[in-house]
Amino acid sequence: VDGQVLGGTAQGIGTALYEEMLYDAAGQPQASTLADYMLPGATEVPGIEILHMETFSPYTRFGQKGIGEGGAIGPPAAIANAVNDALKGLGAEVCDLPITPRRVLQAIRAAQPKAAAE
Amino acid sequence: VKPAPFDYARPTSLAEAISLLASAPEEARALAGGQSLGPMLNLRLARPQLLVDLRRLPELNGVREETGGVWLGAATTHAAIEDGRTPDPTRGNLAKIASAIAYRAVRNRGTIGGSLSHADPAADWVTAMIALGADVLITGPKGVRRVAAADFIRGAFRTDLKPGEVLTAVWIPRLAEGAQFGWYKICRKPGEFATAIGAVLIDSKNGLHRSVMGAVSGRPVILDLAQAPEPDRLTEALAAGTAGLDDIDLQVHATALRRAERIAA
Repeated sequence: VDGQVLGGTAQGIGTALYEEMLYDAAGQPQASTLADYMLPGATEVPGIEILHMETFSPYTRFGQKGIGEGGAIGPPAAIANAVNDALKGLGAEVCDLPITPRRVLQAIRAAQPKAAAE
Repeated sequence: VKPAPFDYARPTSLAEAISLLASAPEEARALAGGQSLGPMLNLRLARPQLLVDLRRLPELNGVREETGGVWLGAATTHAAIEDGRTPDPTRGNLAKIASAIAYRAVRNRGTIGGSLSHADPAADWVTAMIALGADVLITGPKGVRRVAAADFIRGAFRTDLKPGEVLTAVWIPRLAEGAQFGWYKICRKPGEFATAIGAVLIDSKNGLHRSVMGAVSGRPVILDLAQAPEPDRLTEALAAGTAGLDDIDLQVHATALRRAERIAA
């Protein structure tokens, strides 16, 4: 299942930073090809070490469990928390995925009048 | 993702290519490396009835080095420039820019002339050639003419090419002694088209400080001054030349330009 976990992690990085189906005001999809829909590639996925923590299921005959793209769950939380930790000094916080450069800049701008008022 | 049917011609001389292109200006498209036109055909964003393949024309291949600069054939690939297979009159800047165009498979086939003729605002050569003060050589039914890159690029996907005309070579002037060039591009991912490009040429001896901002909505914004622009002047010029970009776009572009400036200075 290593490949599945690794692929899931890449997918989670995509969720956190890249993948988005946008529509314009007229309802026209803006990401209908892979030229527009951003995916993490070889340059965006770091080396990943996979460690397994095994527990047997009490509900199945041989203790086996199913596995999906479990690796996809962690990256968005880890990356979003890291970004928000970095933005903390500016009083800014990003609450939407994917965390695009534009969203980060918007969050910083939104925080600036607030910071100035305090 | 399959192109509509088209005819394909591979003329053996420039004259033949020009007459093919001129005979059906609405229906014919020139093909060089095909790295932009290919995907456009597949997505049917372009539906020419005839493709005229220019890549092997002897008139578009080859380089000539002169005292003042270098002529690069329009069919010179990004990879050839990246690898230093062509002379670089800009002390390594051309190779550096070439090495960051898309990814290697694209650079192996994509050409400098094709990129300029396509005139995607986010294409590296569009901004770089303007910043370096390059010229392009154009041959058409009415003869040969030479145009400054800054005048050749008219807008997003718009050039000075008239029906039947072919960009045959690019003149890149030698970077003057003591002159400095800075280049910075901001991309979401390596290989993606740039979000913003900044290019700065500082030639104090000749009293030139040129700032070029690329990957904007149309033609790159060019600011030719005698010294470094005042921040206000810069912001003003950028805002004037970048209709359709919002504050955040402008901030990203200004950042690219500032970093290019720092590299050049």
